Amino acid sequence: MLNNLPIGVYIPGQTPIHRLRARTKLLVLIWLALLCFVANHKRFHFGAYVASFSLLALALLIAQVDFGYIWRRMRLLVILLLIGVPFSLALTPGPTWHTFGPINLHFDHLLHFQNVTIPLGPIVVTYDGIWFMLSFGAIFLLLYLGSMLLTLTTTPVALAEGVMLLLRPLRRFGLPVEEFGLMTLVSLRFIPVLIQEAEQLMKAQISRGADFTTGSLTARLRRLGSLLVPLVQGALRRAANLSSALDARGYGVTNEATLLHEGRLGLLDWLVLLAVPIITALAYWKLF
Amino acid sequence: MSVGISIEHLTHIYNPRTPTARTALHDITMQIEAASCTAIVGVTGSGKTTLVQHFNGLLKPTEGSVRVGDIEVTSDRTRSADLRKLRRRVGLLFQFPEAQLFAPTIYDDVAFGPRQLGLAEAVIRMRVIRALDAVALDTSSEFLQRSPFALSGGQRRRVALAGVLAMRPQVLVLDEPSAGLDAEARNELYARLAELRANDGLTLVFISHDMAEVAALADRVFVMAGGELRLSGAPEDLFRQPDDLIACGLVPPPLAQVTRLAQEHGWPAQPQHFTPEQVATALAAGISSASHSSLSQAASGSPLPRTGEGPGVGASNHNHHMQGGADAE
Repeated sequence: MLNNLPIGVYIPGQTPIHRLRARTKLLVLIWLALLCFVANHKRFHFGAYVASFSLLALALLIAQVDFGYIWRRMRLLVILLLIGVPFSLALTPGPTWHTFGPINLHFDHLLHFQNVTIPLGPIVVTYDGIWFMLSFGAIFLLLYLGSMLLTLTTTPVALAEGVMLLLRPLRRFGLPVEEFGLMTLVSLRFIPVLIQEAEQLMKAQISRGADFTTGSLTARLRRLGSLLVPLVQGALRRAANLSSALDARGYGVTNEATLLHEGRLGLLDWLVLLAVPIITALAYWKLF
Repeated sequence: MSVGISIEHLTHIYNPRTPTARTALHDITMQIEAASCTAIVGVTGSGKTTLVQHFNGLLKPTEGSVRVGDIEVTSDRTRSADLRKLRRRVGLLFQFPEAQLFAPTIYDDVAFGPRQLGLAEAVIRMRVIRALDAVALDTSSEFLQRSPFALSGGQRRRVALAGVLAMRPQVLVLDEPSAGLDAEARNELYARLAELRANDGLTLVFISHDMAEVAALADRVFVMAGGELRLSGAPEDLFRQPDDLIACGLVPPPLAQVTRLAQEHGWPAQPQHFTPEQVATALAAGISSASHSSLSQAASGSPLPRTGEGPGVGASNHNHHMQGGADAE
């Protein structure tokens, strides 16, 4: 029931993509998103997009991600994008590409006394509308696929450490980066635990005749209540235990915490960090 | 009124058709007799909990079938009315059920199940009181209105058990019911379970890591390992061949090990003696024969001589005497 949550799940592996540091993958993803966003201003220049998607496809291949799995995960996004297509096409101002309509819809004897004609359109599809649809569709897909690849190939802990390292310069401005990192780590650690616990509680109550899938809204909300009480209670108990355990090990954020997963950048990381921006930037400026 | 459970070629795969797919159970076929007490044992991760969650339809087989009386659950769509009936028939008490209480009062928590059945409040009250009575808890109205969170861990577990019993199941499945209980609470639980079986004809199935508990309660044992059913049989048969158990990562109960070692040293105890009563009787018999004749005679495999003494009474008294005899040999 709860294992259908659209959260990217880490799938252990030994591919080069898995071995990249989390911050390398994060930086590359940020770079690609920014570049595609900037490239959006040069109408009908596909260079940056083609290069970004080629690299992403290559990364997906290297990481040996199951394409059926990717498709199942991105179906919803594709449907959402398709729903947005008519609106972005019809509602963007600019030079006209083609005008559809107006179509007159006739309703004979509407309300039994009158013939009504409702004019639909004209719908003006602009070049800007087409470009908007293509470029933003591409950016959404890129971000979605990229972040999926990131979570599929990076352990949550390494990811949190990567974010923490990237934010570290902000410490100079008094931002509590270390505390923030610890909080992120702990909450990431707790998500699967809480999901598992909620599942267990639901099973226990289903065993006693509860039905979570039917009934009126109020009945369902009441059932949710009977789920939340022990869940929150359990979470508080775990949190208390965890903080005692941290205290007992002398964990304090006064000293700079060392990181377990995010070591120094390796040769592969430097290669990727150099190659990706160069390839995509060249594609942006020189191609198309 | 008792029903059994019949499982045919049950396979269960978690998250099928995803990269995280994992086969938790593989081709399991077993029969649980009506009104029996069955233990399911195995190391952590051997699939015990996954297996019992099929018994009341919480999980559906990926392949194969589970049949409880006239209800059968297969991988196909099972009618939800059948599932509801099945869950009424098979009560399942999860591991550490005391963490799953949620209602503001003990009464409300135990009444949760019967309320889902849409019973009249008077009937519900009767069921709650009977269920609490069956687990030897106070049934005064003052106690019923207390918060379950104010109780001790052992008492809360009994409230949770009462919550399952209030559904009046014909089969009671317990996932490690005695884990984390102290000795007294454990004995109390065993006594209640035995009573339920004797009075209501309940079919009992329990998961356990404690072989002494298995030896004392179960009349049939299923041993799981790596998602497969490896061994099955009466406890005395399984404990007689400890090598098979050890291959599954388990050890026979301490007393079975004692009797086996004792037999190697020439004592008349048999490996099928593994409850305190049996061992005490065997020891008393051995002692009385030893005091009459020589030790080697007792070790030669002759049938245990019956003595007039009560079982177990002489055992502790003659303990030192016996120890001395073993050393002398």
